[in-house]
Amino acid sequence: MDEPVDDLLRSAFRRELAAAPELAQVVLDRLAARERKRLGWLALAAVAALCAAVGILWALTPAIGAPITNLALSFTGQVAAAPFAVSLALLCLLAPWLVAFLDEPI
Amino acid sequence: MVVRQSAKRLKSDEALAAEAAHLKDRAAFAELVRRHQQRIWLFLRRLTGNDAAEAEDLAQETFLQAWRKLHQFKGDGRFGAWLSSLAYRQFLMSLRKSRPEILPELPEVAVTLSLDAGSELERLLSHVSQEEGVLLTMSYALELTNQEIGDIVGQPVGTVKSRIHRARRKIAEAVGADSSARKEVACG
Repeated sequence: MDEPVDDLLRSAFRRELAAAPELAQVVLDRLAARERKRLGWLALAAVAALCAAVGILWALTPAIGAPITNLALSFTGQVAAAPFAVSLALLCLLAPWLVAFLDEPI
Repeated sequence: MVVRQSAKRLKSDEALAAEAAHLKDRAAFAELVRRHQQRIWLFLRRLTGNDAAEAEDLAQETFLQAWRKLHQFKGDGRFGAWLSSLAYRQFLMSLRKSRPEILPELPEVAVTLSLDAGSELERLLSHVSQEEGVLLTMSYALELTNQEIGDIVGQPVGTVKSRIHRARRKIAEAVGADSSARKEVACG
C-alpha cells in the first residue's frame, strides 16, 4: 500500500522542486553587499578615530596644531572657522559615498 | 575557473562546507546553495502555508545565516540536516516576529490558496494536516531521516515515524477512494 503512495509523493515533490527559484546569485550578491557594508563601517570608524586623534593633537600639541591651522587659515582666513571649514570640506567630499553606503540594501 | 567549478561539483557537502568555512571560499558556498536551494525553498514554502515569496525571503536569510555560522558546522551530521534546522529556526523567528504567542513547535498555519493550488503535490497534501505536510516534505524533499526530523522539530523519533506513516496512510486512502470513484463514474 505504501509503495504507490511513496512513488506518488516522490514524483510530486520532484516536480515541485523544479519550480524553485534560483537563489545562489542573489545570496552571493547580498553577501558581497554585507561585506562592503562591513568594510564601509570599518573605514568610517577608522576615519572617525583619525579625526578624533588629529583633533586631540591639534588641541594639545601646538607643533602639530599650528601647521594644520595655518593650512586651514590659508583657505578660510578666520582662526575660529578653520576647524569647521576642514570638517565641512571633508564631509562634502565623503557625503556622496556616505549616502550611497547607508542606502545600500543588504 | 571551469575546472575549479567542476572539481567543486565532485566534492561532498561536508567537504565544501569545510572549505567555505575555513578558506572563506564563496565559490564553494555558492555550490552548496545551488545544491540545497530547491529543497530549502520547498520546505519553507510548506512551513509558510504555500507562500512562495515569503519562502524565498526566508531561504535567502537561511543561506546568509549559514554563511555566518558555517564555522559552527562540525561535520558530525549531514550538512543538509544542519541547513534544514537553520531554515526551520529562521521560520520560527519570522513567526515570532509576526505572531509572538506562537511556541517553538510545529505551527498550524492556515494553508493559503496559491496559483499552483491545483498542482499534484497540493492535491496530495490537501488530505493531510499542515504539520503532516511539513513532515512529509522533510522526509521526501529534504530526504532527512526520521531521527534528523525529530532533532529539528523537537519530537521523539517514534512520534515522527508514526505521524509520517499516518500521513501516508491518509493519502493512500484518499487516492484509493479517488480512483475508485473515478472507476465508478467511468463504468457509469
